[in-house]
Amino acid sequence: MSHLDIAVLTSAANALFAFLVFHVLLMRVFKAINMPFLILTSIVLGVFLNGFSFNLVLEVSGINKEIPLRLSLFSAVLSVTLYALLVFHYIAWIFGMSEAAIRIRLLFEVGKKPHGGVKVGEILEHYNAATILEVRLKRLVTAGHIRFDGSRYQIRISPLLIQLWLMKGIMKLLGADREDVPGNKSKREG
Amino acid sequence: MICVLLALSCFILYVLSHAVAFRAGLIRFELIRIFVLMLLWGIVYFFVANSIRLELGWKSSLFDLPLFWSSLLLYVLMSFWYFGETTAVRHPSPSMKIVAALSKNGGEISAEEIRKQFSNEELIVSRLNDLVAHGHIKYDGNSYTLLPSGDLVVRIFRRYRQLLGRNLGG
Repeated sequence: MSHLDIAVLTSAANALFAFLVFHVLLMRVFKAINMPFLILTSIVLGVFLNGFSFNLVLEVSGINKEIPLRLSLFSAVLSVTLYALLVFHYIAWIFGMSEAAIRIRLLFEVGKKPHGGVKVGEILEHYNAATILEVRLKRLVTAGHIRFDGSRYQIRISPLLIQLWLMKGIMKLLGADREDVPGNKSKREG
Repeated sequence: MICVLLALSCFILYVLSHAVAFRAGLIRFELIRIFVLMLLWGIVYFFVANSIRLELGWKSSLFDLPLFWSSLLLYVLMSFWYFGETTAVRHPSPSMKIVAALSKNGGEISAEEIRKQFSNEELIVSRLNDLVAHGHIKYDGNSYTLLPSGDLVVRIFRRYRQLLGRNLGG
C-alpha cells in the first residue's frame, strides 16, 4: 500500500472514529439540543480532525516533501470525501434505522411480551399511523426540512428535498415508472 | 489521480449498465443482481488499473499504485450509496412521502391532507407482514411473537439506543 493511501485511509478512519465518539458524547450530554445540530457539529469536528490527521501522517511518513502540493491537496479532499461517505452510510444504515425505522420499532413492540403473543390491536393502541405521522412532522419541522405556519406545512430546500429529486432522477434514468414501486401496485390494479 | 478517475468511471458505468439492464428487463430492483453488477465493475477496476500500471511501466505491485485502495473504497462506498438509493426508490420512508406529497401539491399542504395519505394498513400491518416473511416474527393467526433473529435485532438496537442515551425511535 502506498504512503499516500495510508495517509488518506488512516485520516478518514480517524475522522470517522472521532465522529462516532463526538456524536455519542454530544447526544448524551446535550439532550435538550436538537439532534440534527448535534450530528452536524460532530461531522464538522470530524472534518477538522481529518485534515489534521492527514497532515500529521504525511509529516510523520516524510512524504510531504516528496509529493507535489497539488497531489497532496487532492488526496486530502479524497480523504474528506471518503469520511463523508462513511458518515453518510453510518447515518443511513445504523443511526437512521434506530431513529426512524418502523420495522425496528415494531420488533420492540412485539418483544414487549417475549412469551405471549402481541395482537395488532395492542400495538395500534400506542403506536399507529397517527403517532408515526405526528413524530415525523415534528422531526421534519425541527430539522428544517419543512415549515409549519399553524395550519399548513410548507416545503423548504433541504437535503430531504434534494434526496427526493435524486430518487426521481434515478427513476427517470432507469426508465421506471410508479408501477415499479410495490406500494403503488394497488393503485394501478384498483 | 488516475485510480480516482478510474473508480469514478467504474461507478458511472455501473449505474449506466444497471439502467440499460433495467430497461431491457434483465435486472429490475433485485438486490442480489444489483450487487453482482457492482462486483463486476469492481473487477473491471482491478483489471484496468493493472493494465494502466503495465502501460506506464510501473515496476512495483498493483496494490502499491498511489491511491489504489482509496479509490477502490471510493467506488465501493459510492456503489453502496446507489444500492441504498434503489432500495429507497422502492420503499420510500414516511418522511420522504411527506416531502413528496408537499412537492406534488406545489410545496404546501394541510395536516389533514397529509393524514389522508397514511394508514395503519400501510405503515403497520404491511410491515408486520414483511417481518413475518423475513422470519423475524411469527404470526399464529391471532398474535405476533418474536423469533430469535428478531430478538437479536432488538437486543442490538436496545444496546445502541442505550449508548446514545435515547428512547425508542420509529
